[in-house]
Amino acid sequence: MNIMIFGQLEEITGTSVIAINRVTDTEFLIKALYEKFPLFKEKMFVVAVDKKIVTGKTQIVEQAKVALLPPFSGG
Amino acid sequence: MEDKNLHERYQRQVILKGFGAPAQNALLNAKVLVIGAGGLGCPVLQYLTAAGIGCIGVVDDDVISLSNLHRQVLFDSNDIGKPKTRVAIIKLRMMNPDTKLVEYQIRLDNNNCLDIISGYDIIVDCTDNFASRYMINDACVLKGKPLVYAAVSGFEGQVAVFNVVGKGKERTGNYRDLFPVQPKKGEVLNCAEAGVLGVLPGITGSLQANEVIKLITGIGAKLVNQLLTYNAIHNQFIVYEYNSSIQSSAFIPANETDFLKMNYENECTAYIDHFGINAEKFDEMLLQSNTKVIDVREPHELPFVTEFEFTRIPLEELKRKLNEFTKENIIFICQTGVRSMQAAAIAADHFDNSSRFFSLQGGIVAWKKIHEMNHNGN
Repeated sequence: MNIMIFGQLEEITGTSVIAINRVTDTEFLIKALYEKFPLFKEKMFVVAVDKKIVTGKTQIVEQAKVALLPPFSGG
Repeated sequence: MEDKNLHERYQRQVILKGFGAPAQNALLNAKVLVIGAGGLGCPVLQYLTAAGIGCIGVVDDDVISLSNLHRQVLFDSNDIGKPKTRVAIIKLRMMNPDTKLVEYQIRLDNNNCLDIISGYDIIVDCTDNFASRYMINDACVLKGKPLVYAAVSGFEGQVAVFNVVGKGKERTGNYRDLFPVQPKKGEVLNCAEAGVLGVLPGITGSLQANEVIKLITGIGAKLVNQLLTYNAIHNQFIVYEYNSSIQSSAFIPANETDFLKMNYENECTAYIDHFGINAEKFDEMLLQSNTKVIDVREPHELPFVTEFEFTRIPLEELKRKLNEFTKENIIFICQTGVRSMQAAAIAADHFDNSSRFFSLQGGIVAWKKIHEMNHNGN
């Protein structure tokens, strides 16, 4: 599954789209992200599934469009 | 709007279908506060002044520097060293002498924020730091003011409209529904550290001004319960939806007295990441015999807790009494989870051990709401 990466999270991944396989829900996704990119543990971001920002454990189907959105402070 | 000049000045937008004199009159009667006269503030101020907003307050305590000029397009090389508010207002007056401009050459803080925003209809967040953003958000929730938010980083921008009256007269989502607590210092770089493409706040600020105009005139769709993201590299606009949440509303001070006590400059999630537990985990730990709950609020504070046993030690007395608790797991609680976070940090620091100190996220307010919802079967 392709995951869209926003803002300064891209500095960790090096690319604006990353691939994570066999994602079933947000809990699995976060765990996989932390394993693949340990620096994510230090970062705040929210998860969007199909253009909806989700909180708590949320199911992710194979075709879902997933994005990771951090807050920005700049103005 | 009978004056001939007025008519001519705004003619190109007044003739728009669905706009007309009523929309222009709404703009002429509106009072908008723009907080921050930097990268976002410059286009917001320019377009709102040009559009004929009746009164605009301009808040900024900074002076113009050379590194501002690539994006802060109200200012030029001769303005370096001068206050942003003063220069902005001189230039905006030349642009449209009919707009009343009010200068606040100050830094917004807990003590002046509520008073200043209460005099305006719509607040526009063009600031460049999380402490101000969270403070402005909370102040707007407490005062019932719509907040038009934007923020930029690198090649990307975010825009949203918070806290307007929704269909059922309830207030729509706010910044804490998106990001409940502040990132810890250094977690997210600002423009000075991460860089920003000059045109990016121009585009993002223009989107922000557009939302203000739509809010005032009642035309079009607003970014309510939505976060718009713009990527200047990929030419990509995406709108994400989000819901209001009880957990996040608990982080907002309950009233103006609590607001004055908030320490936005030092509020951060460093503590939450280490100490925060949710209601479910809290209930689980309550059943364990080696767990003790300490309420760090003052005795008179509501809501009262009758559902479980606890010890009361107001935050100010905590340091003196900590040595009584050398072995057990301690969960600190307070009204909204902010003071309990501080308490957990103080205790961890005191014993040089963070593993047995916890803080109930969202405080007793969120805990009670969650239990009420569960009780009602929602």
